[in-house]
Order: sequence, then C-alpha cells, then structure tokens
Amino acid sequence: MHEMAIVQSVIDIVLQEMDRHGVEKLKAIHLAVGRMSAIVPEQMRMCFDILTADHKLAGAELNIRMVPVTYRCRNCDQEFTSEGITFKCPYCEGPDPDIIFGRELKIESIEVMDE
Amino acid sequence: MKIPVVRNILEVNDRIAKQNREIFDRSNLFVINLMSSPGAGKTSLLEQTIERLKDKLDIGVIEGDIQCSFDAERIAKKGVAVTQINTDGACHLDGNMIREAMNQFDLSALDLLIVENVGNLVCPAEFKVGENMKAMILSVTEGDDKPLKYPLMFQESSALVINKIDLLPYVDCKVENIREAVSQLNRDIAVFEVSCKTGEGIDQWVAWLEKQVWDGKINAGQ
Ligand SMILES: Nc1nc2c(ncn2[C@@H]2O[C@H](COP(=O)(O)OP(=O)(O)OP(=O)(O)O)[C@@H](O)[C@H]2O)c(=O)[nH]1
Ligand SMILES: [Mg+2]
Ligand SMILES: [Zn+2]
Repeated sequence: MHEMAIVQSVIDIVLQEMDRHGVEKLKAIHLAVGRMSAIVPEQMRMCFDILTADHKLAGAELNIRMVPVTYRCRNCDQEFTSEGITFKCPYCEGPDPDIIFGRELKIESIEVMDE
Repeated sequence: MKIPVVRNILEVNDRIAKQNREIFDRSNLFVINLMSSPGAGKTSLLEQTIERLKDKLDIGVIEGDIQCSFDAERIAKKGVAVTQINTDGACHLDGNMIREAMNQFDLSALDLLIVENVGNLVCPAEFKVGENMKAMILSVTEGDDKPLKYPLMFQESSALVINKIDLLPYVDCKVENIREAVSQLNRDIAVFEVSCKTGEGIDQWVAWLEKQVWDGKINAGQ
C-alpha cells in the first residue's frame, strides 16, 4: 500500500508549510490527484487517519480533488477531458491523443481553522 | 482561510532519484527499474538475461523483496554482483532505498545495474529510483485486461516483456489484445514475447537491451 508513503510525504510537506506560516491547527488539506495516477483516495484517507492519530494534524480533513484526464488530439489539436481512458478524439476520431493532465499528485493548499 | 501551497507530493523522492541518477551518470552506468506483479517472472528474466549478457557487460543487480533473500541467492548463483533490499512491508522501492543499496557496489566497474522492484503492478510506477528506463513484465497468466485496468505502469515503461508464452494454449489470454491496448497507452513502448522456461524470444529482448545500454553510454560520453 504505497498510499502510506505518499501520505507520509503529504504530512512532511504540510508540517513544513505550517511552520513557515506560523500555523498551529488545520481545518483541511487540499490535494489534487490525477485519475491517471495509481492512487485510491479512500486508502489515502485511511492512511492519513492512522498517521495523524495523536498528532497536531489529527482531525484535519484530507480533501482530495480528482483531476480528470485531459487529452490533446495529435491530429486536430483539440483538448478534451475524460473520466477514464480513451483512445479516440471525440472531434475528429483521431487515434492516440496525448495525455496532458491527469498524472498529478499535488498539495494545492492548507486551510487554517477560523478563530 | 486557505494558504496556497502547490508542491508536488513526491518532491523529496523525485529529488533523491535525480541525485541517484547523477551518480549513475558519473559512473557511466545504465540503470533499469524492472517491475511486474508478483511471480510474473522478474527473477527468471534476470537469470536468462544475465546468462546471455554477462560476458559482454558487467552487471549488478539490486533485489527488492518484502522479506527473505531467495531472489538474491538465485542471482548470486549466476555470478554477478547482487545486493538485497528488504522493504519491510513496503510495496515499492524508493530513491532512498536505492541510495543505500547502490553504495554496496563499485559503480564504476559496472555497465548495467538492474533493479528488481517489489512484485506489484501498481505502486512502484509512482516512485522513481534514478533509473534510465523502466521495463515491465506481464505474464500471460495474468490476463489481457491488465493494461487497461492498471494503465500507469504501461505508460511509464520503455519496454514490456510478455512472459510465459509457453502457457498460452492453457490460458484465456490473447497476446494481440495486450499489444493493442498497450500500443494505445504508450506508442513508444517496445514489446517482446518470451518464455523464460523455454527460452523463446529471450534473444530479441537481450539484443534490444544491450543496444539500450551501449546507446546510453554513447550519449553519456558526449
Ligand atoms: N511456465 C512458465 N513459468 C515461468 C516462466 N517464467 C517464470 N516462470 C515461473 O513463474 C514463477 C515465478 O517466477 P519468478 O521469476 O520468481 O517471478 P518474480 O516476478 O521474480 O516473482 P517475485 O519476485 O516473487 O515477484 C516461478 O515458478 C517460475 O519458474 C515462463 O516463461 N513459463
Ligand atoms: Mg523475483
Ligand atoms: Zn482530433
């Protein structure tokens, strides 16, 4: 379950950022995860709960935005998105479009508890 | 209040992998990250490959295993330098583990370092270790639906070795289906059909691999 290693990296980065911004408590962590990445969001949330029990991040919400796969047609240059894998351009039926988004594993923001 | 961060979650591993790569490059060493499901035939393919290449290239092997060292012992019997990483439960190798293991070799004495990743069709694909290329094995017993079910590794790999073709008469798997799906996922991937049991197709794979190593060395030397 590599989600454990990935969530540990999230926690390491978030703690650095909290330090940098002088933040003590978080309401949420917002991630962007591409549908093409090999990640199961439920697994990530479970790992997050395990790794943050008794921790200053305990109770923070791990919000995971799934990024659909965005393709660009090599034939007509149109861009289009798909929830899954597709091999055909919906505009010109051209084959093998390039994937331009959908592989990301990013932290987008941390959300501070309102006073 | 939201504070924007925008950082790559795997930035630390990516950085370590990049440093590993710089170290490998300085030793003019070509590195392959070999991945597959458990039991698809990684160690068997290594045994076959080493047998055919060890007189031409100096080869080292890093064996990643969740536990035990059977694979490392199999490789050691082939007379090449091998070291074992026990991942202690982790389902993939990462840059740090390779950094430790690579220090056990005289890197400048090697031409080719092969990393046998932990048997897993999903997890290793996200973690670079500093390799020049990823290669993967799919055995025909796993079925021809795997590329579309687990596309990432097929997209990341430069070579796909379809193994256990001696078993094709007994399994519900069509090599053409694998080839078609894979070529749609990754049009640059080199595909080989082999049997590590009968030796069929191994020579083509080995010839291709040897060429990658020499081409890599020429590029690094320029
Ligand atoms: N019939 C047949 N069996 C094979 C072939 N290649 C490997 N095997 C068998 O498949 C089993 C697994 O092979 P390994 O080479 O150990 O596979 P692996 O991918 O290294 O396995 P792990 O390291 O445990 O993930 C062994 O029993 C091999 O003898 C093949 O081409 N044909
Ligand atoms: Mg093995
Ligand atoms: Zn098009």
